[in-house]
Amino acid sequence: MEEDYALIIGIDHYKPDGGLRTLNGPIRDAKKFKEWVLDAHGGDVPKEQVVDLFSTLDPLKPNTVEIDDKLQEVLDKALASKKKSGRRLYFYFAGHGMAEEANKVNVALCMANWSKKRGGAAVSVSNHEQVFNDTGVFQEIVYIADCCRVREWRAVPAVSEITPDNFPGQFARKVSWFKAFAAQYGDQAFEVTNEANEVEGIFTTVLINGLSGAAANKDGVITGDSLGAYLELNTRIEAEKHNLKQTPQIVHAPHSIAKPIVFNVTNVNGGTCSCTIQFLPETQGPVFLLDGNSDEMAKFSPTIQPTVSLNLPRQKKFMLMDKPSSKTCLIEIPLTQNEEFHVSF
Amino acid sequence: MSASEEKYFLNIASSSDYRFAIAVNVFSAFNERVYSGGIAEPVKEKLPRGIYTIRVELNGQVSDTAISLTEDTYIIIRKGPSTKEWSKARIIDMPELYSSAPLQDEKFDSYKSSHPYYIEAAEKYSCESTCAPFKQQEKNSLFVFLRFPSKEKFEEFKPAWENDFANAFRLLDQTGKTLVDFGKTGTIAVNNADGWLAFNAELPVGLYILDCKGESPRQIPMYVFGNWHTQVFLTLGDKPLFGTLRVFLSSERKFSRHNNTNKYIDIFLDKLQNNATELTGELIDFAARTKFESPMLGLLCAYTYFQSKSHTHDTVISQMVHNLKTLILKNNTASPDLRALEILAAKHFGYTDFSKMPVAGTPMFRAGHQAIREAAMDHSELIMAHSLNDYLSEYLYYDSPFTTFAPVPKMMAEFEKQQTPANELMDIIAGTLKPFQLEFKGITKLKKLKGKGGIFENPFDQLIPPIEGVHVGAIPNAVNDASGEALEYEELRELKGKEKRQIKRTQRKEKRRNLLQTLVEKFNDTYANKPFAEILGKEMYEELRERFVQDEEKGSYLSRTIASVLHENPNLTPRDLAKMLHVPLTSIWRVLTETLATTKKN
Repeated sequence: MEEDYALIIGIDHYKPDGGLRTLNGPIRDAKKFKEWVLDAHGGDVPKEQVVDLFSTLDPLKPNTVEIDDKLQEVLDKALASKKKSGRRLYFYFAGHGMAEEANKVNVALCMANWSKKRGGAAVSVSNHEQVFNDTGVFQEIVYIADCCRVREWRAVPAVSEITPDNFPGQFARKVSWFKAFAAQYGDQAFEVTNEANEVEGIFTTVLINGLSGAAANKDGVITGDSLGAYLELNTRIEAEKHNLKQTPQIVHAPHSIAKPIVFNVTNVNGGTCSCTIQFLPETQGPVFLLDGNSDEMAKFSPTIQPTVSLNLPRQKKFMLMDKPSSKTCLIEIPLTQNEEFHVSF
Repeated sequence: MSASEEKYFLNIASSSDYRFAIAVNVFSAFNERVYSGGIAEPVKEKLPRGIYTIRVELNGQVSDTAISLTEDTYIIIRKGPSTKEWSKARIIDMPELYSSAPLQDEKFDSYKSSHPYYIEAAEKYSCESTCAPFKQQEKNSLFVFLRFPSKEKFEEFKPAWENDFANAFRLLDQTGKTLVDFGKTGTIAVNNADGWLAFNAELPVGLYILDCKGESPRQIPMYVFGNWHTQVFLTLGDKPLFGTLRVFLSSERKFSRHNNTNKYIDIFLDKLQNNATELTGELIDFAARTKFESPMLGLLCAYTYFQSKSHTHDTVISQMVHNLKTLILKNNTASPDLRALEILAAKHFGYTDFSKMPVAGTPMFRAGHQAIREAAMDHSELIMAHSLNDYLSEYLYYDSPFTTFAPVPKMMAEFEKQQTPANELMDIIAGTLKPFQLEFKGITKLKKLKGKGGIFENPFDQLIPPIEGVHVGAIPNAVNDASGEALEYEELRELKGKEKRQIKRTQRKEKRRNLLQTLVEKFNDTYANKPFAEILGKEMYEELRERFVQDEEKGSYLSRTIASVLHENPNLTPRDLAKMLHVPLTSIWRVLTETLATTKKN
């Protein structure tokens, strides 16, 4: 959308011996999110309105001042536009994060120069919330943080140097919010190695999948609520595939005078994918394949045909149900699945 | 009616013991959350035909079950109602549970981490001593059981412990002195095949500390209550997993795998850890009924309730706290956790009459330590200078509902030691004022000061106001050069001349408490709310700020944080600073005085 903007930050590099290990996924994740933001079927944000910041080891960056520089850049761009405001800002962060000491709500986004001795080298999410609410330059904020919220170390994040009074937006204190944190208070977020041997954050992977169509509601629209439900359900499922435990925290809070946040009204067609179902010996059948409305799509007899192949649409939920035992299994083929999808039931 | 307009009832219920702690979320196939809540009462939702995911969450674990809703459907979690309408219900199980304590359900295999080799070891060694008693015929004991997730995992983690995990642990007393080294033979029972260690000893009432060495050393306070047996369980990985710490109190010197109340302790701890502090009436009633056999459940229930700020069950909780103090854990009023609960109760119920005596030691629960720290903003006498609670803020970890901290370099100043009556008053006053002045060595210096106003090495000395009705000498902390001991009150009085003593040596505890309060309140009332620049004068203040920022590598975390904060906010008062940094006011005085002392010497 013409009036949308984005600030995208990915930090892999952290101060050696500072207490935080180097990461391998955040910059890649941030770039994947940037792709979605620029995609005409995705965020559809004009290129010149997308600001990004990726870490480097030498020089070690970014720090809180550089984040404020980029934040100011995006605020200035919106204020310089024809409407002197923006509809939506996408703020995305991937890197290390911590829960602020004794504060269940705030998250400290750790900068590259964070260390145990420099616990203040972190951006305060709560302070950002205040800045965006007080400046009112953007009507909607989509704030995404793919990072931990652990409490092991004392984190006292810094206050932004941005002075809201000098950024007179028309939506001051009338801002709608969609906040998505990769982990709950006190918990970890994880990065894993995928089949292509690339490291990626579990949460961002699920997020991109959701934004690309999997999080659509019955009407084919991805709303704040449907994306929130999708992320809560599927982040956990994705983490368990790697024997990990991760539950995100999502807050969709449209302002009382505004409409709920909507991400995409285009009914994205993810195409179909070949799916092979292997029935286990204990599955006697008949086995039914149901769609999201519980309508029967197919019926199988495992004793006669222990393996079946069929084409299924991507990003839709289906269920296999073994009638005698009531055993069930959900099938959802992700958008990125190109090779044959295997299910054992 | 089209298929999409058909609607049916989805009914979910559970009569399992865990139902108070179970959370259920139901998601449609189209990314809608159609139900979110508890299961203490049966759930009945009318929903469109379709496929749904029922997510059951308990103690941080989840299990998902997919269902097809094409008729009215009944789902039971583990156990449910036995009425006719539920007779055809589909039964789904709860998520698997994990606990450091090797608990076991009688009918179900709920606890996946409770292997027979850990259960049997814990039950055996909870009943018998592994080392000689510290005092004869104590009716109280401490049992510590450390284990790995399984013996297979133990093999995997062995190299991280240099093949001797017992060597990493010690038991300390509250001053930091080593009582037992688990690495030495004859103190513990250990199994290097299955991966467990048991320590059990009869111990006097009081605070003890489990010291864990390693890359990130940590200490855990454990309190032994009179006539109760404290049982501590911890799981180890490649390092101790402090989030798995479990502490029980048993009336018998025995751990039982089937102990029902211990299962609820797990549930409460999880709620406290995750800040999920809303409690149902049923859960509170259960805690109220069983606290007599399991006071830990009562303590936890009270802590959780006070964190929630709810007032729905005030009457029950008030009675619970009263019973804990006066009946169940009577004669244990010195326990830091009971002191903390008293403070929390006062704050919650809105009264001010609670003991303001300094708290010796620190609570086992982090919520208790934080309560004492917050109360000390207005009653700084609760935290003595150089006490454990004074230093703890800088070393505290936040990843467990229990108090755990990095080892404090200066553990437990002399003010926590046993005092003889003769010295007690002097030391209380000296302890209170010590942050504000340096010690004066030698009687000769004292003589010079007599009647002259004196030579002050610390500007705070000039700030101590005269206290009406109290003549304890200008320099209460004078030290005898020969013995190195603080001067006796009599000696000081003699030196100052024949002044009339208005505070008798044998005055009762209440008067001593009042004196302490008077001294500290007077000082704090006068100075705690003034900006530093006003207290110290502009020149000294600038010197102080400069001193703070001079060397980033040295100085404690607190002093460096104060430097950073004062740089941005020069008009802060000591009380503002204490609140902002979540530390006691006493700590601010201490750090400032220590920095000033260094400043003057340079």
